[in-house]
Amino acid sequence: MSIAREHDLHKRRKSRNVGLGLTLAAFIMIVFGMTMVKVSRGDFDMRPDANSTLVDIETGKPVEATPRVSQQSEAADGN
Amino acid sequence: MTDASFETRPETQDAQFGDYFALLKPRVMTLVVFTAFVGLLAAPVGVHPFLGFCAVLFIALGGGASGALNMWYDSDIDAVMKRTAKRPIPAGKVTRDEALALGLTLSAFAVVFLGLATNWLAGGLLAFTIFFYVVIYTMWLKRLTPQNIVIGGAAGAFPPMIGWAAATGEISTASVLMFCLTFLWTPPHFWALALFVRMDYDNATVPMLTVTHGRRATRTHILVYTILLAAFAIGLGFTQVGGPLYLAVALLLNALFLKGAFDIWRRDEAASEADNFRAEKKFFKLSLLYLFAHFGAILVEAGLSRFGGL
Repeated sequence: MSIAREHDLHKRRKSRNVGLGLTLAAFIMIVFGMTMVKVSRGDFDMRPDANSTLVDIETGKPVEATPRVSQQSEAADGN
Repeated sequence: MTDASFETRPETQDAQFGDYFALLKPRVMTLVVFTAFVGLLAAPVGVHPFLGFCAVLFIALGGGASGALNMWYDSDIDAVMKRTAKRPIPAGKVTRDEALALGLTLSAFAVVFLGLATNWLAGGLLAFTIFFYVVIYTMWLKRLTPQNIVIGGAAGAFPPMIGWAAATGEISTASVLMFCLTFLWTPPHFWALALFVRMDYDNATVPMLTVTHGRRATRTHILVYTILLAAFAIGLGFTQVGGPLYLAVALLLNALFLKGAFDIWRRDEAASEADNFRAEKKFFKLSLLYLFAHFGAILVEAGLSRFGGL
C-alpha cells in the first residue's frame, strides 16, 4: 500500500483521527494551562514563608530564618 | 498486518468519533456540567477561572466515563429496548471492550486530574460517584429493585457537591442539600415519565415501579418524594447559597410541583387515559423547569452576593 495514496480506510476513519488529534491537543493545552496557573500562584513553592518558624533539628530550638531572596535579586547576583 | 483485514469489515461498522462521544451520554453530561458549575460558583471560596473550567470539565468527563461503563455492562439489555437499541454497542459500531477501555481510562484520568487541579476530596468524591453509578447502581441494584431510579438518581446528584468541594475542599450543609435537591427530584421526574410513556423494561427484566408495584403505588411514590423534595429545596434557601430570590423561586415552584404531584396522586388510570395523561405530562415538563430554575437561582444569588448585590 502506497503511503501517499489515500486508502479507503483513511476516509472511513477521518473523523475518528481528527477527533483524537483535537482531543490530544486539548489535553496538552489543559496540562500546560494548569501548570502555568499552579506555578504562577506559587503552589509548587517549597521554600518556607516569612511566618514559618525554623527549628534546629539537633537542639529543637527555633533559629532565625534566612531572609527570602527574590528571584530577581538572585539573577542580579549571578550577573 | 495487511489491509485486507480492514476491508473485510463493513463500512457502516467503522466507529466514528461521534460514536465514542455518544458512549459518554452527552445529554446526561449537560446536567452534570450545569449543576457542577453552580456548585463551584456558589461556594464561598473563589477559584481561578481556568482551574474552575478544568474542574467542571473533569467532573463532566467522570460522568461521561461512568456512562460508558454503564453502556458496557448494560449492552445486553440496551439491545432489547427500543429506546436504547441505537446506542453504539447494540448498534454494532463500538465493541464492548472498547467501551470498557474508554470508561476505565477516562475514569482514572478524570479523578487524577480533578485531584491535581483542585483537591483530593473533590477527586475522591468523583471516584466514589463513578463507583456508585457503575458498581452499586448498574451492576448490583438496577436489575434487583424497583427503587433503582432512586439509587441511580443519587449518582446524578453528586456533581454540585463535587463542584463545591473543588472550590472549598470540604463538604457543607449547603452542598449536601444541593445533592438532596437532585437526588429527591429524580424519582418524581422519572416516574411521571414512566406513567405516560410505555417503556419496554419488562423485555429487559429491569424491575420498574410501575410494573412491580403498579401505577397506583407509583402515583403515591411521586407525591411522597415531592413532599420530601419541597422540604429540602426550601431548606436550601436558608443556607449560605440561598437568599430572597432563591426562596421566592423555591416557594413558587414547590407549590406548583406539589399541586402537580397531588393532581397525579388523586386521579386514576381511567381519568389519565381520558385526557391522554395531561396532568402527568404537565408535571414532567414542570420538573425540567424545576431543577433548572432552582440551580439557576443559586447561580444568580452567587453572582449577586459576589458583586455586592443582595
